[in-house]
Amino acid sequence: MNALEELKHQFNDRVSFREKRPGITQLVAPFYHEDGDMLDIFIEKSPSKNKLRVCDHGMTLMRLSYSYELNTSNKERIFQKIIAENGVNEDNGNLFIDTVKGSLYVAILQFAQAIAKVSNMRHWRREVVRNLFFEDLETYVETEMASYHPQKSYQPISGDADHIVDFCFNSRPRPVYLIGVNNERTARLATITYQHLIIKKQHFVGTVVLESTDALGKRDWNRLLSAVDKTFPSLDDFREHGKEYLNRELV
Amino acid sequence: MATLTQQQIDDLIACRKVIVEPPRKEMTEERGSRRNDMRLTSEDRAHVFPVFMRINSTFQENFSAGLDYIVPGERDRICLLRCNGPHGEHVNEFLDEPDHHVTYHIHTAKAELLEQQKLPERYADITKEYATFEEALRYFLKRCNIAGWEEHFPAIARRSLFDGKGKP
Repeated sequence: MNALEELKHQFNDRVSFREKRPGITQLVAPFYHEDGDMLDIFIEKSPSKNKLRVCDHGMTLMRLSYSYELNTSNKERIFQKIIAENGVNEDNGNLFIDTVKGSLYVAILQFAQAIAKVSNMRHWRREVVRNLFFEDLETYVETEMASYHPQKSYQPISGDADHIVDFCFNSRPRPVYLIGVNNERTARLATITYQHLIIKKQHFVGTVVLESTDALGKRDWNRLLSAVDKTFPSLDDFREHGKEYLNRELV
Repeated sequence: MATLTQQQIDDLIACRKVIVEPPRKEMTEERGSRRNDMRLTSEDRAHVFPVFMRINSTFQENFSAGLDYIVPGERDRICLLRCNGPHGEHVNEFLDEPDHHVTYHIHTAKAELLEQQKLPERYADITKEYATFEEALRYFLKRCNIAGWEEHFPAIARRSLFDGKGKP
């Protein structure tokens, strides 16, 4: 019995195979994504001697990229952790497990599980990524902008703990304050803080870094824009232009 | 989770859209697939639609062109429409008689699935509208009613060999 016949037997004849390309067999099995599409699992000879490769030819990451990009070091780190913990390797987007013929069934189950976990990273946009944004912003300011002597969680008005900014770059003639914004709540807090400082006749430059321009509704956008002096529409934009902006403002 | 009626979903797909962040001139190769993106809004700028275009680098028949929708004031992003190639099987398992198919298909958002907190684009229909990524993209751009798409996709805009319902 060859490997595929044995595999079909182990799946109780509930799977079939389709030749995708010469030497690449697509597994047709009842494993589905949440949108009803079958998991993309291929079986082929491994470059390793006497082994088979279970792989996806980049399909998992392609699907993930529809709505979620591995575009920060933290997201990449989490992705690498997921695949490592599930015994999966990656070669330029191709997720794979190399296995011997006798372990093909187990490898496929393991691979399917790993695909599901990677695909579920898109759900993190609302929860974990919210925290990753502030972590990434903080890391960038404290490492790459250390020469500007940022002060974290700064109280512009001494004793007023209700109005705090994420960072203060303090220099004459006016300090530059920075607040990270990733949703309506943080947008409203930033608006309230900066408007309060204006009412109190503080001299400052108020900036915000947005996680994404998608984060806010129209009204929150309008209120925020009327209260701040400078908006960076994304963390990438802040990384690209933040230093030159501070150089101009802190002269 | 966002709630939209089926009429709202259909109107969002069909409404006239403008390109606010154009696509790159060429698709970029990244981790096993070729990729391009653009961003649209409705003509009144009230609605924002990210668009993604993907082709697998190994299997050119494994492609996808999709219209997402950013639900205003929420962190939800839902897929309204997605045109796929014959990458593998799809099943509409929630139907009274689940159907499986292995061919070109189009995912369309359904309000009832949103209500059940399932992925709204879980429903997919077989299509005969296209046989390649380029044809799928042309179909997608026209179906989503995107103004000025011809300027950004000149190769797609050239007259299709099959100009009618599969007839040359």
